[in-house]
Amino acid sequence: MENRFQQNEEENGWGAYVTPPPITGLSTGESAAARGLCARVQERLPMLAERDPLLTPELVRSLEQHMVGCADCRREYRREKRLTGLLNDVPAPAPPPDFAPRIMERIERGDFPRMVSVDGLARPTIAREAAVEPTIRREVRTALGQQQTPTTAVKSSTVSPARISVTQPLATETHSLLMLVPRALAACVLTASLLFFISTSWGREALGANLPGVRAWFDQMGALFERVPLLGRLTAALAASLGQLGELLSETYRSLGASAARGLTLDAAFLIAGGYLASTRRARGQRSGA
Amino acid sequence: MQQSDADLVRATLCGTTAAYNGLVERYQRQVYNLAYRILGNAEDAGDLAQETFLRAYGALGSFRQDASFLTWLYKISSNLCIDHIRARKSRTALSLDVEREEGREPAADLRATGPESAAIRSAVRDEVQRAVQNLPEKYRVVVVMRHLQDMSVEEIALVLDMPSGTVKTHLFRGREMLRSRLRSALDMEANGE
Repeated sequence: MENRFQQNEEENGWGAYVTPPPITGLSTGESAAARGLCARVQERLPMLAERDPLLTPELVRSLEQHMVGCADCRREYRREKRLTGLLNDVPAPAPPPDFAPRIMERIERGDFPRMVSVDGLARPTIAREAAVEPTIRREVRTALGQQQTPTTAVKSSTVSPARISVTQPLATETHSLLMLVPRALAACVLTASLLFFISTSWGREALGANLPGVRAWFDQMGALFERVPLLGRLTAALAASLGQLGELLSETYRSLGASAARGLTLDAAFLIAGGYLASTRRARGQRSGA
Repeated sequence: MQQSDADLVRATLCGTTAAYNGLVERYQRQVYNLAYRILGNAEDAGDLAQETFLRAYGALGSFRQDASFLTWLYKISSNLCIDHIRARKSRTALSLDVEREEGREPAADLRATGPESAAIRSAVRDEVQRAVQNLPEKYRVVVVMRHLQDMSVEEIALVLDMPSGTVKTHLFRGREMLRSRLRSALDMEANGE
């Protein structure tokens, strides 16, 4: 049978049926079959058998008119209808009676695969993920490899759920809320200590009084590094290890969630700037007084 | 009043595991049937349908509700079935497809079974089920979803993550293959009218 959709079927497929061209010259008898009309009619028969709404009433009428006088197409149409009937007639067995209880029993036991995203429909967003459970993200990164993040959309046609199962605890909203409490406490402690340094005279004293001393210390160290370059390199190594501490701190910030971290950073920046200004003014006042 | 899927999902996420039981009972038949009709084997279908619900539970936190819960289950289930078919294919020696490719006709000839009766009807149903199972995987899944699960082309496209034009192409090809494989059964009816 001639198939005019063969050429670029993958691109268009039955999409070519979306606006079926009108079949001109539909008539009965051998002459119509000779012109390939029967082949074109038969291509549309599956749609007709299913009463596809994409078929216009005019086209349905044309097809039916053609079949009145064409035994071949009539037989093909009966086959199509019969096929649809047979497919609809395939039995639909019920699941075993203990199907649901068995599932629930396994869930109660904790015997189920923990997933990040099972398909393209279930992509966790970055914000939500950050709010849910950062330790999960860390474990997931480890499980998936560093290059792949759990936010990657997984196409169902290429990657199946089985390939992305990981072993972290189930993340729930309740869980995430509980985990936020200690982080909020940590944020409060950090902000309170900054406020203490700025608002109390002792704190300002500590910051302001030491500033010239710190500056002088840096000057001395700079001069020392110039004289002994090896010492400079050793100090750089020390700074790198301190970077690990920075990583830890940044992880704490991340765990607060993106917006909370930004807000806290801004608060801290303002407080430090304010404290620095206050302490320098105080130091200047002391110097002028002296 | 029956709780909506969204309510049950929310309750499950808040720790009420029993709420998930409601979802399982609501959709177990559809999920089990999809697996059964794709795999054609009650034991495998039971295992994969169970696995579908367990995986959905494990990933419930990532279900964004931009599609229905059943569509999401279908997606997980069809992925599992496709994986299973591929794994099984590598183990299976000779399928009906291979026989066809090699120019051999399948053995069943329904016209040989005699006059129409309940036994023949049952034999025809078995033959149809067998013919569906022997379709190439990509055609089988869409044929099952469209004709046996009564899903729309758009829904299938969403579940399988492919353009609806491709779904239609696969349906067309699948039906064409079925027509040729079930010629005896189809002709028996067509000539009978």
